[in-house]
Amino acid sequence: MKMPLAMLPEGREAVITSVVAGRGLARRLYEMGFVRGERVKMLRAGPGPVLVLVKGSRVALGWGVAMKIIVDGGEAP
Amino acid sequence: MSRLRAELGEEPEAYFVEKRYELIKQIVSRVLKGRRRLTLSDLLDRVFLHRGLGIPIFLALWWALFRFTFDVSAPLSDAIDMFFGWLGDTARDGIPNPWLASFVADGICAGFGSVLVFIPPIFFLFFGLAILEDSGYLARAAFVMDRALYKLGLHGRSFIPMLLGFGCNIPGVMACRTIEREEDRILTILVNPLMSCSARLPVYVLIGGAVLGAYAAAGVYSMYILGIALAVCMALLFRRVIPYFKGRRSMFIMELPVYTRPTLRSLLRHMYERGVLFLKKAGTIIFSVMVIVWFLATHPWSATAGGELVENSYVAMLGRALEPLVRPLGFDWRAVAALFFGFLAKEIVVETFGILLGVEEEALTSAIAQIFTPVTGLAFMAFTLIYIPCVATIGVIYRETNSVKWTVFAVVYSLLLAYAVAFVIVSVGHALGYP
Amino acid sequence: MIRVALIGNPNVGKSLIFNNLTGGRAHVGNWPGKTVEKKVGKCVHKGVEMEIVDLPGVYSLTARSVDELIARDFIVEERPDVVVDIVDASNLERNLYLTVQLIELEANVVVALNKSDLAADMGYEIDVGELSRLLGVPVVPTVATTKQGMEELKDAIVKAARERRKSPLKIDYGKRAEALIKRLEEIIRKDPMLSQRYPTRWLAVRLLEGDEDVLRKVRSSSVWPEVAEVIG
Repeated sequence: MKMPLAMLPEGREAVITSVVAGRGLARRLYEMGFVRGERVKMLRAGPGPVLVLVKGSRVALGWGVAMKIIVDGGEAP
Repeated sequence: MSRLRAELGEEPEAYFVEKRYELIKQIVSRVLKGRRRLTLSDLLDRVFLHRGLGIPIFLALWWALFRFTFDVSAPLSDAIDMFFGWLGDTARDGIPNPWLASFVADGICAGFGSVLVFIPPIFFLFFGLAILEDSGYLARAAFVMDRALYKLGLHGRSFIPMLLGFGCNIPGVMACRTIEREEDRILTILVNPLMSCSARLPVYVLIGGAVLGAYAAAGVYSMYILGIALAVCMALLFRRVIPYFKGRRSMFIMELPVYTRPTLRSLLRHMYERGVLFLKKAGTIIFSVMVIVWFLATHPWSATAGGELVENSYVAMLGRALEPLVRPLGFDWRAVAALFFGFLAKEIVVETFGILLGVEEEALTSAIAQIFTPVTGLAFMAFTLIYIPCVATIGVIYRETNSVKWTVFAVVYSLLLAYAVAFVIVSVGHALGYP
Repeated sequence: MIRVALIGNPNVGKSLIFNNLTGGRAHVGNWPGKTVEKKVGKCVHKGVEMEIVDLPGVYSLTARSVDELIARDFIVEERPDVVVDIVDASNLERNLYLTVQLIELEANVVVALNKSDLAADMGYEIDVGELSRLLGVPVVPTVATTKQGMEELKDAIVKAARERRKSPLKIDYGKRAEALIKRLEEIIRKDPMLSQRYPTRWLAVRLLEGDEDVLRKVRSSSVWPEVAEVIG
């Protein structure tokens, strides 16, 4: 089920399907590891900034940023 | 570019990054064995980033840092102060020529003393800060405070520098280095001096105690609140009005490093590097200005009888010349002179009043009550809070922004703001019927 | 004297390694016109003198932020003899992104695989020899906090400066992209101002990626119209 990363429940894992952001932000996200097909895990959910595990490192994202990353959360709730 | 997109099948930025990562994944799969275990860092984050406890934990750690710094450094600062006082006295007694004696004692010794007295708090603060930073905790603090600050026009990373400013604006401004985007960095540097540093406290206590009577404590407290409120207003205002600061803020993306045990070596190194930097740049400014002020306060030499009669000195003349400017605020020439000296180091304001009123410490309070009313006293306190940062801070602002333009702007806007706020206080006070 | 640049992701232990190498005696200033700190130090190893510049910690060399611009400009314009890329062993995948970019930039790379102890604690085992072989550059495991690996690192730096080997690592960007890259390279080679200053393949890829700084540099070249044709 597709959703913005910001809404991924805590503890769940998902796969990134796309990034809908301006050039600069998108590039930065890609380089931090948020590429298509990559697995991410929600370590601390919002509201407010979220903490995710991506490519083995802990990355904090502002809420707005996390809304721009679309993931596939796997099983429907 | 859309033609490229069609060729490659997706956005070029994404495409090339993905290809690189594909290769890296291949390499890593052949080179790395083992699975990621749950680490101490993960567990610590459960605590420090806890939804409810995160902020209180931060505030507690922060308070501890403060206490550590100021409790440990205060006796050392006092010792340094006393040493240079003693040195000055010895020089004064030992040198026959009165002019030279004054120059050495009140110019050079006082000058050196005023710089070196900063060393203990600055070094200890940097040491404590280095612990929080090197351990990886500071990144968590920024994370926890980011949301609140975003709404106030500031960046999550602005929080630490702002909090530091309550102790001393110098490390506060220097801590702005961690803010990535230059525009955000400069904005935080500009509003940092509004955080009421500890040097201003004696002024509040003196004036407030003298004229506010039962409301003295409330008056002092309100200065801190006023500082915070103004910082927020200025941040929002600058963002809206000055084109340089407009535009999207750096989006919050921050990697949280693993928690590490800081090595004593690197802690001392950080402390030393930053401390020495401060001494070099800010120190030379403070020292030179102190000497200049000594000169202005003791000359013309004959008129002031060797520095005794400050009323006849250039400073007094300057004070009187500027008096018309501040009369709407209810300040007299002594207040101006005190503010002028306060430019060097805000603590000096108190001593200056003592000298200019010709009284000792004990009688100072009543003497102050003679020249200020509750309303003008409050206005003066606000003025002290807001007007130009002390010389040392200006030196550091220059160093951190690497720009004369912004440094001048910081000085000018704070002067104007101070005047405006003091004026408002006086006007409202008079309108409400107070003298 | 060998000119060495230190680079790596933020928080990988770069400052510690810088201090280990330079003995803490560093000249601190600002990068010209910027508010970012610049540290330069010296190191003498087995008779060889090294000047070590600490570049800002960056995740990549796309030159979007001030830090990245400083780092990239230094490597491209100053052409240090050796670039030591400090990689966090506990975070290998993301850290190698910068390494790969450095290799594309044709810098003379030596990888310091730092935090090897942490990686082991986390349950990881890294085949250093294989990594070195696949990347095509020397890889030295280090633990900066205990100064482990420092001597080997200095040896590797001196050796790399002497041998100046280029890594054979090449990323295959796919048939279509490679065709575009080839065309761009041919065009770039026509302008010696570009082809002599920058590695042609790197420049071509950057142009396709829409790197603003590179676009600016190429716009003032005589071959710009042809380039613009290709990238659209």
